[in-house]
Amino acid sequence: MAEVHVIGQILGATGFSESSLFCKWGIHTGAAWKLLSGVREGQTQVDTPQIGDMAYWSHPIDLHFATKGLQGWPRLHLQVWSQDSFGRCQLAGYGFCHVPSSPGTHQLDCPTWRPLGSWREQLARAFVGGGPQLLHADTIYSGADRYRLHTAAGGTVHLAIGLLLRHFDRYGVEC
Amino acid sequence: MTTIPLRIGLKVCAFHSFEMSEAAYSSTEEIMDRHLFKDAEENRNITETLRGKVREKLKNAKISQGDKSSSQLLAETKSHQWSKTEVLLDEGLSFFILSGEEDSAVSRSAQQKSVSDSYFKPSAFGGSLQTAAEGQDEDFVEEVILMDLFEVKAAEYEDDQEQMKRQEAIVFVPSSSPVANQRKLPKGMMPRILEDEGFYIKKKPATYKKIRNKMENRLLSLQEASGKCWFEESGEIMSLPSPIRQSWNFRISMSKESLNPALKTIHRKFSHHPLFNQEQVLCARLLQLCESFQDRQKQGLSQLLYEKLKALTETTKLARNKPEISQFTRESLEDYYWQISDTKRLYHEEREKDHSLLHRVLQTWKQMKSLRQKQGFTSTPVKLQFHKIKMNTWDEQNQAGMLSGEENEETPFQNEDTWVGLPYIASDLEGMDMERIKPMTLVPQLSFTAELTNVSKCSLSEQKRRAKIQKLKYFIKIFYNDKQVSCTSVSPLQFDFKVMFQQIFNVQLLYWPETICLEVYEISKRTSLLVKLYLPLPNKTELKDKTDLEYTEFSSDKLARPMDGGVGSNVPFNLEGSENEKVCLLTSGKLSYSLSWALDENGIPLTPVSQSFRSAYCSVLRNVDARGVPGLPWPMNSQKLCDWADDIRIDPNDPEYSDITELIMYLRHKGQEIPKYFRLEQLQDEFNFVSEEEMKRSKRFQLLQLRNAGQLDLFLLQQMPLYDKEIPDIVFQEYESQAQKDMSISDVNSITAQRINSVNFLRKVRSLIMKRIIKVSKFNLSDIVADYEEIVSTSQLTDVICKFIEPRRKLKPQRKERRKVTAQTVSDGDIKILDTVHPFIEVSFQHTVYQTNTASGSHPCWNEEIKVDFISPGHDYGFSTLSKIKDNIHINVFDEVVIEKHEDHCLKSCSTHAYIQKNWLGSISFPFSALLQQSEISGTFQVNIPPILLGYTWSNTYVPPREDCSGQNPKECTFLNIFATIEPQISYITFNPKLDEFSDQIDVLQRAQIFTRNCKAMFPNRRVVTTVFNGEGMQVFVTRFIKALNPPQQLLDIFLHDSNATLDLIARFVSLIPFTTETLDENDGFDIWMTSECCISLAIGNKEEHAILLCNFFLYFGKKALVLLGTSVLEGHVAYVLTQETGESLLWNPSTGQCYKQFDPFCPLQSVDCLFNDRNVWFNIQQNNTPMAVHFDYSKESFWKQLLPKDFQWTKAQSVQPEEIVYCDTNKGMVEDLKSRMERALKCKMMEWRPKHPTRWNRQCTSVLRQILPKLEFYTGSFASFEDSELERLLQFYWVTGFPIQMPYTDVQSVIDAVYQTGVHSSEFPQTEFALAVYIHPYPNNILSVWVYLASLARYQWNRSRIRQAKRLRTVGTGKAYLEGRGPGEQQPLAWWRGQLAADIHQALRYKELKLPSYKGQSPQLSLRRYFADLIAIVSNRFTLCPSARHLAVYLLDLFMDRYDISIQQLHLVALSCLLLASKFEEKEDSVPKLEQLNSLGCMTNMNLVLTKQNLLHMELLLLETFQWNLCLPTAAHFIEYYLSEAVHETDLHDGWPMVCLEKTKLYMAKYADYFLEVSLQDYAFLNYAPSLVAAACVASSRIILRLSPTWPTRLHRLTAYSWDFLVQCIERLLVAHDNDVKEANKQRGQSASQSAQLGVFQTAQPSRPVHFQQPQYLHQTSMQYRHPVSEQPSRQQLVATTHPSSYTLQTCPTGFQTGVQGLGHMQTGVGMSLAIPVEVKPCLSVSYNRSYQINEHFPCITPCFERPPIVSSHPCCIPPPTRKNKASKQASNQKQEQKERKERKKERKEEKERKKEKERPFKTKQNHTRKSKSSASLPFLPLHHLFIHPDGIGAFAHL
Repeated sequence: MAEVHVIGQILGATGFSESSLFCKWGIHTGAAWKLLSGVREGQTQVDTPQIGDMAYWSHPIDLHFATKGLQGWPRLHLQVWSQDSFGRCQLAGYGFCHVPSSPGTHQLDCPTWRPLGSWREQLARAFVGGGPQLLHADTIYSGADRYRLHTAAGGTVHLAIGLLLRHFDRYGVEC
Repeated sequence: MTTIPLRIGLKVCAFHSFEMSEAAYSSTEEIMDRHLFKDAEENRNITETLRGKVREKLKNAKISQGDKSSSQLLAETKSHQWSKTEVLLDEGLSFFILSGEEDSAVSRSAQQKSVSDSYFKPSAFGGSLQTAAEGQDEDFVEEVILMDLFEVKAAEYEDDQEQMKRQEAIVFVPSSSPVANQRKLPKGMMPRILEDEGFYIKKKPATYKKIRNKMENRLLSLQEASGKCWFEESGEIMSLPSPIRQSWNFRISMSKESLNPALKTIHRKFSHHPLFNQEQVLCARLLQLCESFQDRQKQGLSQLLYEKLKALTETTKLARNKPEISQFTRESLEDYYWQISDTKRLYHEEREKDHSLLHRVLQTWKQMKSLRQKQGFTSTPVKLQFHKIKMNTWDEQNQAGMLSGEENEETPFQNEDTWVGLPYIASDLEGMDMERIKPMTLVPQLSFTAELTNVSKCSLSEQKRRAKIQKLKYFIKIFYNDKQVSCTSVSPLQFDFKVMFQQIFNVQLLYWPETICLEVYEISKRTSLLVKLYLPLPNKTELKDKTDLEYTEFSSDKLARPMDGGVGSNVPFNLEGSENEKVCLLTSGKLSYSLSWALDENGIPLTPVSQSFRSAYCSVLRNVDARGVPGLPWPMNSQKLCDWADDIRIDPNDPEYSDITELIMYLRHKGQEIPKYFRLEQLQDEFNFVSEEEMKRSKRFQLLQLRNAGQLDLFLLQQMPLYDKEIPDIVFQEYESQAQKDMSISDVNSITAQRINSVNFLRKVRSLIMKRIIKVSKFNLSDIVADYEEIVSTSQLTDVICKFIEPRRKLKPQRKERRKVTAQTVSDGDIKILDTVHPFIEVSFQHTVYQTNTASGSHPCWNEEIKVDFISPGHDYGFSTLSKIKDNIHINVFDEVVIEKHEDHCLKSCSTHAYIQKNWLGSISFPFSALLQQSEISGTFQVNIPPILLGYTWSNTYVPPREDCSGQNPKECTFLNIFATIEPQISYITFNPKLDEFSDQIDVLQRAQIFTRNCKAMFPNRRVVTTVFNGEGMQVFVTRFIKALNPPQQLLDIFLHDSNATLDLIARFVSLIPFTTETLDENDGFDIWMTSECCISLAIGNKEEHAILLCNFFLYFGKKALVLLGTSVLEGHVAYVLTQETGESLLWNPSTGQCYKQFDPFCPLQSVDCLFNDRNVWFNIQQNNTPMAVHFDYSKESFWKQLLPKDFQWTKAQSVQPEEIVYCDTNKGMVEDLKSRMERALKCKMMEWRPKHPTRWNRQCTSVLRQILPKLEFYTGSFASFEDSELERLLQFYWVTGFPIQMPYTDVQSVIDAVYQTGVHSSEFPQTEFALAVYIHPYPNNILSVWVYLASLARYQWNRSRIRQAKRLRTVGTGKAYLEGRGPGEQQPLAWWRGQLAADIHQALRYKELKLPSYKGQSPQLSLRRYFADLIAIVSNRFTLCPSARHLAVYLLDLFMDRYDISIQQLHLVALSCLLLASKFEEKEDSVPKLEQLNSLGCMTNMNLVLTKQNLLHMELLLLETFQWNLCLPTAAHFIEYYLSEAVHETDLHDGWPMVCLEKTKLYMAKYADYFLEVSLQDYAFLNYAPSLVAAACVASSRIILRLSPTWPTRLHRLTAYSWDFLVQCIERLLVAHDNDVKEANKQRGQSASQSAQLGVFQTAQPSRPVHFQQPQYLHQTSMQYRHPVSEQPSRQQLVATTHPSSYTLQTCPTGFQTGVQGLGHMQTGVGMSLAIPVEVKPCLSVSYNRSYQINEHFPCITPCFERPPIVSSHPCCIPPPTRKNKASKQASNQKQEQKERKERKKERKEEKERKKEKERPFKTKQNHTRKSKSSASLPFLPLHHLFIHPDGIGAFAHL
């Protein structure tokens, strides 16, 4: 009955070509994990950076898990979207990273990608916006079918995550 | 490829010598196809690929088979039917899998076959094909190729044949070909295969077939005779079972399946079904015939007869041939002949039957065949073969007459014909060749091998029929004792019209089953009962191991129309082939099942004992049953079972596992191997640290999750404990109890249950709708961003733009000063209640109570500020949390009443001696939410005053300030000025999120919304509601709620002609519907209103619903009624109903039912915001919106803004209200039940609230109140009329305060709370009695009006201590007094024991005596006590004071002495003051001794005491201070009179005889009681007893002395409430004292006797004394008859005679002369009498006071302390001043006395022993005794009387 506290924030994103960005995030765990408190998923506000390249969200993440096994360690999956001047949202990148497994604070950089699509789609995207999106969000972190994808790199999402572990030593897990 | 199969065919024949009976050409294919068909469902995909190949191979094989002569009928096929298809399937499957593989695999399968070769298995077939092919290939090569190579040389050729023959001669090479069974077995014997018969044959060791064949051949060829013994019956070589034991072959522990009868339904098969086509009908018939034929064969009757015949003929033949040898006589021979003929006849008959049966079989078969040909398809797999068995010699060539199918079928028949035609006559017996008689039997052999025509090839109707069959499904319900216990799964009908269930059901039984019934249900389109079958109960011996199935046939006469080729059932139809035959068949079939008893773990059958048997062993059985395990483990988890079976590889043929194998087979068949779920992480479980359960158990996690879900109020903001152990379980208990609250409605009245239910229901509905609404109303930006402001108009925009031009805002804005408000002030009460009341106010909120000072007068003004602290749940003081507070603030008006603890003689200053009682006068309550909403409440409010306030009246003098204030009687209103606010002020946020439109009439709704928005913009604080949500969550226009609705008819009938009264009644009815506890929600804009019908039927509603309901009712009467929305001062948001009469507007408050005029200043309505009716909504746009200022003419647009303009065209939507409301009557019984429950609950609660005081219920008052209550419901006028005479009578004795409370019924708790609020229970006055009556008036639809009448009663005390408050009853205005207080002299306290209140007074006294100050007996001057007690006695006698005064005086003295040390001189003063106080307290004023009188007393001079007024008064004051002015101290004297009233009764026996004169006895009783009282007064030891006990003991002692029996009758017990045991100790003491007196008297008498020289008599009198000493022992005896030993009486009598004069000679008083004379007179009479008791009595009278002062000869004069003063008064100066010397001498005398007592006690003991001995004397003596006693009792009391009269003087003597 080990417990994991994930406390941190999604700091922001850099390297995206789009300007007004927001981020949908979620945390995925295996079957052995049980969320005691907190929200599994959320969405940040839209940030339009005035100065510099980085879009800051400083979105808090506060989760408390209980687990009966190590399998399915929580992983964060992120979708960065950009909102254009018409209020339309288009995908800027998918990304995922595991929640670190050692206690302490961690600075994570999560690179992102987005499906490229055919040249026609690319063309349409360049002019009209939009573009291909994943049908199922779980492809972001499961990776079973990703080999078919052509992707383009997006920017990087920066996260600062603090981790508290409890009772793992009781079950022979050193951390 | 082509050549190989050829040989295969050949080899096949060689190997297996089997033959297809018909259609040999296609037989194998048929078989295969059949299997394929069956397999098709499951493994079509597997077969599909292999099929082609196999078919190819097989076809080739068939070609070869075509030209092969059929020779052998396989016996194995017989078993075909038996072996289930499953087996075949598996085998078939394995074959297909194997067929593509190598030889080794094939051979293995072949081995398998050979091992268990009883089945006809295609795999074996195929396998053998393969092996055959292989083996033959080599031969072929050898034959062909070698020959070609070596043909060149011909010379040395030796014929193979010859060579072989030569070799055979030398070498024996056993052939490896299999041996036919016939050779192995004895002739004519069929191979018997035990396994087929159900025996379990253990596995044999595996051997190669070839080797075995060789072995067999060798054995057979070696020695024909001995060889055969090596073979078993089955034709196999004998062999031991396989020695290899599989170690894992352990048994499943069957303990868990041990349940009572296991019903295993295997399958059911239809013999007729409506969906049978004609072929199937025929088939069924064929089957039936064959079956019967087989049955007959099994019986073997013909065979038996044949054998008999054979034996008979042989013997007769023998006899005839050798008549000389034969022992048979002629007769016997004849007999034989006769027998032969008879047997023959029988045999013939049997055969005839057989033949006819065969004939019919054949005929049917023919019909069937023709039908098959005709319709062009076959739908049954049936095939008939005839097997001819010749029973005579078995020759090789003609091995078995296999007449198969079409070719041969005619032949046997013809044969038969010729056969049958043979005449069998007895006469040509001899000529008969036995061979000929021997029947050549034809056995019809059914096989199910015919190929079913594929669906596609069938006709349309057949296709339809088959489709229908597929649709049909069946299931069986199992009934045990007519109760359904279980139900099978639904199984489809198979094509062979079988339904397989294959399920085992376990029924746990407690009793012997009566019936077990199966109901077969058919599911086609709908489920219908097909047939009901009763199963025979299984024998007790039929246990679980039983494997064989039983059959029951069933048929149902259900009519089924023939359709789609089906023949239907119960419908006649023509059968093909026999045109004239009309058949009508019923649906019928067989159900095979097995019903058996289970075994428990010990293998004991769990058969329940039958009924009669049961009763005896019931308990034993219960134990057995108790550990019965419910349910089998393995049917539950079939997967596990399969796994397990796979693991341990159980032997499928082992009968032990038969059930399991069957089940597994079935499960596999059904294909349940596929798991039901899909798991991503299969290995998760292996890696887990902990199990799921452990996770769930973790309290911390639970708590965390609950907190996250927001379901924990308690831990919401607290830190969570880190460890589980730190978490108390209570947390969950609270949560669970909260969760359970919805569920648990137990032990409540059904009406209450309904209430609870409806509240829950409403809450659920509301939350449901809320959810919907919340979901609909999207999250707005304005919800998050605080300063967000939507730009509505351009003006706003310009403002914003203008802002740029404007000067910038200051960086430091000035804060606005908020108006300071005081917390909560109650001020300037305009209370107009009563004149002399002392009202005060109590404010209670959240169970804390705050109280103002007590004001006085009916116009009190408190002007006080009360700060009420309160705690918000969760310590959150945000608006949202605060708005959830449902508590009400109660402001109660009380009157303070002071009740004196005792007398009102007591000075007024001693207020501490009073009880304060508060009487509830009225209350105002308002919800906290109202305060929250309005932030302050201020104004004058009418106090809710109960309709009757007992003990209070309305003052007439008070003139209300306004005459026209309201329609009500202005005099009966009380008003209270209140100002209340919350500090710090909490802002009330209101926001109405924009809603998405979704509802019926969107245009109207849009309009409504715009209207609302505009209204809000104009007057943001005014309420406007245009749309609400209805019960379905739809947004509805409010006007749709208004519709004329009928009120309950019952209400209309009450005031038929008084319309106003009816309206009032209806308003009242509406007000009685309980209210939902409303909370202020942030989303106040979403109102959910139920329809009026809902409101009525649920009996709950909110304010608006009430208003709508009332409005609808008013509309029904044709009134102009509108619903008014506004705010009320006290209630916050309210909805009123406005009715407009001519010229005036009336405002109805639906929550109270009250009606206000528009200009009623006390109307709580504060603002009028909005009106609506069924047509329109009006918003008040007048500047002043107080009701008084508002113009209610809503047609004026300048005042009222309309939602819908006049010319607005819209289709008026239908009302949401129903056409009519149907009311149901309230169940009277329920109401009664509720009433009694409520009363009980309230009484219990009252007692709970008074933990320190006893709560007494006055029954009389309660009954009066009960009578009053029902009248109150329909009151019209004043209540004064209700105070009926009974209550008046009650008021004479009690000071009654009371009031009725009326409220609608929601639940009992609310009633209890209301009662609690009134504070009736808080009365501290100990003697308060309570009365409580509940009345519930039922209105229709369970709407109840609850009346609770509460009253507290205080009894006016008997001893003139009055409740001062009684005076207050005189109201100022009328001057009418309910009760005139009794003046001090008005009523005599004397003789209270005769009055009606005697019992009560006694009780009061008893109560008081419990509170007497404790007496410790610690005074150093205890020795002087006796002297002062006597002094008091003397003085009180002198002034003829009553005994109670005397006792009180002594008691006061005792108490005083106990506390203070006083000089002896002072003690005299104290004693006299005590006497004075006591006399003042107890006596009439004129009998209180005057100072001069006291001073003039002779004894005073003796004491050198001069009393001064000042001294006395000081002393009195001192005393009073000491006693805290409480002189009401009961003494024994207070009780004695009461007890004496019952002390003697006619029924009492004196000495076992009825009393002669009751009056006299009473008199004596009184005297004796007085005597004992005085005795008790003299000794301080009696202070340890309660006065009442002493009094009771006095009575008891008197009775003992008077020899009244029973000594302590029950009536006295009841009266005094003391049982005998309590009294004994005290009585003993009294009697001892008495005895001492007697002794004293004796001594005196002795002295006198010595003077008169009568010593002898004295001595004789001695024995009498022990009697008294013995009394204590007597007391303990159960028989209370006090019987003196009669033998001593004469002597005593003498004693009497002697003592009397002597005692009186001692007296020096002048009356001595008279008494002497009397004594003489008495003596004269007394001598004649035979009573002895006076002896004891008389001395005590004189001695009692003589004893202490015996030295002083003057003292005897103290004796006349009894009543008559003359004795003392005549010797006023005879009391000598007590000196020390006196006392000392007295003490000395006391010591002497004690010594004497001791001595005498010793004597007593001796005498006691003697008496005991006496008692043991024979009966006779006793009789003498009794007789004597009778004679002595003839005139019992006379001497006694005389004796007593003595001191009293002549007056008493006159009685004689």
